[in-house]
Amino acid sequence: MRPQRLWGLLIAILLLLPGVSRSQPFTCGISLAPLMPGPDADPVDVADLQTLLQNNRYYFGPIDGIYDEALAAAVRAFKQAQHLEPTAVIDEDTWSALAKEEPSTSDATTKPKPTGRMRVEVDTVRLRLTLFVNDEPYKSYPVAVGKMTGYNWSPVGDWRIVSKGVNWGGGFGTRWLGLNVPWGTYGIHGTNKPYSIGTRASHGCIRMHNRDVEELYSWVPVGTPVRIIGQAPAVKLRSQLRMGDSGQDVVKVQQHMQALGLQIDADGRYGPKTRDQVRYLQELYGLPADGAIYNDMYYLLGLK
Amino acid sequence: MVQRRRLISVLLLVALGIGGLWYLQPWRPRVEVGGIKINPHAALDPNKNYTVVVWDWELPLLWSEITHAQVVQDAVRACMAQYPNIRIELVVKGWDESDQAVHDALAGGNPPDVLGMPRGVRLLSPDYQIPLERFLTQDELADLTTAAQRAVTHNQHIWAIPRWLNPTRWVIHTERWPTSPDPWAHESIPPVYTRQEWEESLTEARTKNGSSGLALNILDPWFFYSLMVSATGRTYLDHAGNPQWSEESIYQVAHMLQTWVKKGFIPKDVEAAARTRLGDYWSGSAIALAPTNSWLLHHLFQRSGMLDSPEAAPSSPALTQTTTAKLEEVQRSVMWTLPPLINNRMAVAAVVSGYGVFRQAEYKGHDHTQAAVTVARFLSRKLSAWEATQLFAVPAYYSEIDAWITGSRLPEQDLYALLTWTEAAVVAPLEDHIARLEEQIMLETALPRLIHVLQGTLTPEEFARELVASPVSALAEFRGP
Repeated sequence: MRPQRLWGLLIAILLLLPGVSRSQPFTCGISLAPLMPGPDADPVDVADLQTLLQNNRYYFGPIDGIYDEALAAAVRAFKQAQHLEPTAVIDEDTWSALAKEEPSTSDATTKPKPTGRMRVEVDTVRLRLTLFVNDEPYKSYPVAVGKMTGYNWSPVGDWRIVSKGVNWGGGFGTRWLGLNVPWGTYGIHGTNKPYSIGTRASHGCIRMHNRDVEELYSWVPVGTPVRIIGQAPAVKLRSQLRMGDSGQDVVKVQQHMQALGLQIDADGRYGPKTRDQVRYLQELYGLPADGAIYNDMYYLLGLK
Repeated sequence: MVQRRRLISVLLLVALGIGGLWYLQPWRPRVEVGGIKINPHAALDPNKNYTVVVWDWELPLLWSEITHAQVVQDAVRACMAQYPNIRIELVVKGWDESDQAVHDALAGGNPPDVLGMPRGVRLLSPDYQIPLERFLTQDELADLTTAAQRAVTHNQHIWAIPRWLNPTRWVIHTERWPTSPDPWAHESIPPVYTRQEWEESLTEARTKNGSSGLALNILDPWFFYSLMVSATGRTYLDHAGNPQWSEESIYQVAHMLQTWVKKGFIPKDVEAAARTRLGDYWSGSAIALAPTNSWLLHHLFQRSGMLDSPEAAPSSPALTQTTTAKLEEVQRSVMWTLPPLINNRMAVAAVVSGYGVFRQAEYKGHDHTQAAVTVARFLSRKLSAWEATQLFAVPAYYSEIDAWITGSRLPEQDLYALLTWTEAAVVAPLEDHIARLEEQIMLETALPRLIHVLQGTLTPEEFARELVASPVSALAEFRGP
């Protein structure tokens, strides 16, 4: 077979695999590749590894994110004790062995599969994910959310579940629920670091205990609305926003329009609905009605 | 025998005469609408149930905890509780919904019994719309403010039961206004300035603090229209569609605006300026902002903090020193005034809201009409003060003024000024086709041509000539072949 055809076939196979290659969550900062000693090892993952080995009393060095020989020795000793191949490579099985699944603090352990209109709300302040059924809280789970630094903030806004994936392993745990955030790939997923649940530890994704995300996964279909609330990073407002634009500043504008009582999703996409609602506001307030966000609209919305 | 016959004949004639008088009641004339003679004094039959259809438009009061639709529904419920044999079918339309449904209903001879007209009272159809003056008692007529009554009257007929009047206002930035550092200091109510005073203030403000002048949205046809009303005291068209603005008066206003552009008080790039006027106002680079409407006024007052202060609307009659100081503190950046007084005339373009009452092609009877008027009367009075408070307008009833002052979050001075200014209100022509023609000419002719004047590509004289000539051709086109 000619190499071009082989590549084409491979790409086609990857595209056909639901929710794997197309929605691989790079924004979460979780690598699917095994962690190996050396200078290329992700310092964040290495620091997590050091912490886990320390908790298991195999490592007593500093938590510095450096995968050196001392750490490799600790890994080998740990893996031998766990009846795993005693190498320094941290694969999915090693992460699973390192992670002692901690008990979930979800509000109820057994509930029947709900029926009705479902939506999910993630509170990044209270670090809880709540499933609403017909606008009534149905079940609440503890989560880990994004660190409030740099590009690690969880995306505050109104999203939808657009993809579902099973057993990606590693940092994604057992289930993945992809969100339609326009500026990156974010999702709700399980974890191999259950101790991080209840903290601001992720790179923006919403982490849950594996058993919790498995339950949620089995209940919510693709298309379920997910509202992430809480603090959002300061964003620079563009001088003008119009149809076709997307980003966190669009979310900000949409949220302020929601505060005025307008029926609009804060989904970060400046689509026809946003344009029409902006035009409606402009007509109401006697501003030039072109459906675009310009300087005076920022004032009107309280963003300036 | 002959005498007896004569007596019987006379008695019969007298009886017929009395019967005729009783039936015709010439001292209580009927109201003729589209060939139907309606008895305005017909009573409701207590043993009969009436269904009155009401259409209204929702005011999107984005700041209110309770929606306008809910308030209207509450008023409807209260009305049905007071008149148990009247059932009201309420249809609340969205603010951005066109009034095409009303025209369609009229064309089909089946308009609603009561029609809310919050964007301005109109005489929509002389065949179906009922003049209401004979339905109102002397006390009710006396309770209507003179301005409101005048605003809904045409040819000595009252075409709607008014709810409120909303005059146009400009806003000045009190911190930057140079005439007086505190315009309140020597005035009991917000002052009104002449054209000359405006120009002096604009010049002085530029010298003192580098203000760029006026933050304007010239793209809003209401801006030019309200200036012309101020200059002439009249609407553009009279009730027959003839222009009432003289070439001279149009020239005068266009020349004033052109002069302001030349002096740098108004930017030449009107498109860009219309999109940055709030920024210019709040950054202090503009000392005034125009035009405004209820929504923009709410934004300005809220941002300035005027609506947050519980002391902002002190109870009558006297202000304590503390509350006066507080008022001045919160009032610093925003105060409303009228557009410049041109020709020293106090005339204010305004919108009047009210409820019109209609009959249907298949007339439902005098008592049904009475039921419809009863509902219109009830709703108008019930909503008048509340809506006026929300919109910074003035209620149509003298008896509602106290409730309005109490419910308002604005200083009393502002409210008294508003009352005074409303007396000089000039509303658009009531005839629907004339009002629409006015709007069309303002939007399609006056506005684009005015922009040319400001950009220097058309002289004020040419602009004035064109605008005076516009209705002749437009009216012919509007009415069709």
